[in-house]
Amino acid sequence: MRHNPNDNRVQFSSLEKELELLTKIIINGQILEEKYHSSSEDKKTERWDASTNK
Amino acid sequence: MHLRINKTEIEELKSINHVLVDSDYLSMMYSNETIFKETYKLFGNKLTLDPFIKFEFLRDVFEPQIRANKELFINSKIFNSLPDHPELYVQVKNYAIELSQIYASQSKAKGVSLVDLMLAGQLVRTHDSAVILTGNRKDYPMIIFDTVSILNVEIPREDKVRGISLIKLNRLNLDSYRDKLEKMKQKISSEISKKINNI
Repeated sequence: MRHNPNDNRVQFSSLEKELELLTKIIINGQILEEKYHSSSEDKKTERWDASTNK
Repeated sequence: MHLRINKTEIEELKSINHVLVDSDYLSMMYSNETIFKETYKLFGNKLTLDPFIKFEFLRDVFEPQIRANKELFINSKIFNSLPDHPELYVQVKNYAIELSQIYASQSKAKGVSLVDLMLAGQLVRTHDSAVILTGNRKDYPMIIFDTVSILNVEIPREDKVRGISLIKLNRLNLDSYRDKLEKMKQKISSEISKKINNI
């Protein structure tokens, strides 16, 4: 079977893309956690306020 | 956050095929891109996820966007996924039960969860070709598991360093505790038989 010299380069490029994608997923995860965590904190405060009739 | 490692110890892991990532470290990688990149640089395509670790990573996540993002993360080609096959599950479950009995006989069972046991069972099943990467060393008792290396995670914001253990199965110790457990079981069965015969 003839070896295609570009194969390794293609695999490397696809790996690079995957790593780049994962980095974006991680950053998106941080944004989402911040968004939903802070909103759930607000809700907790709202609930607490309601419970104390304030 | 940054990783500080012992290069010599990590290089000795060349013969290892799988680095099984525990839930706590998976969460750490998911929450910090530097830790993720540095871990990938260290272990490359050996990073492996067990089906139970994936389960634990996704459990209790009710927000659809967070869940979808987490699913994208764990289903990436970067990670090897161990097959979620019924036959393998039965094998791992049997090893996990055996380990739990050994832990209990040595008062080491406290705080060890089902997922920890299944991951440890996976280590027994993979016949020494894998190690576990975990921040919870106490979940893998030293009577059975040896420390291969410790990765230190520097957390500048908190001025803290957290130790992450790379652990492997000590096959000799496991066999020795298996023998002890078996003898204990035989002794107890014989005592119970005698009692029953005397009734």
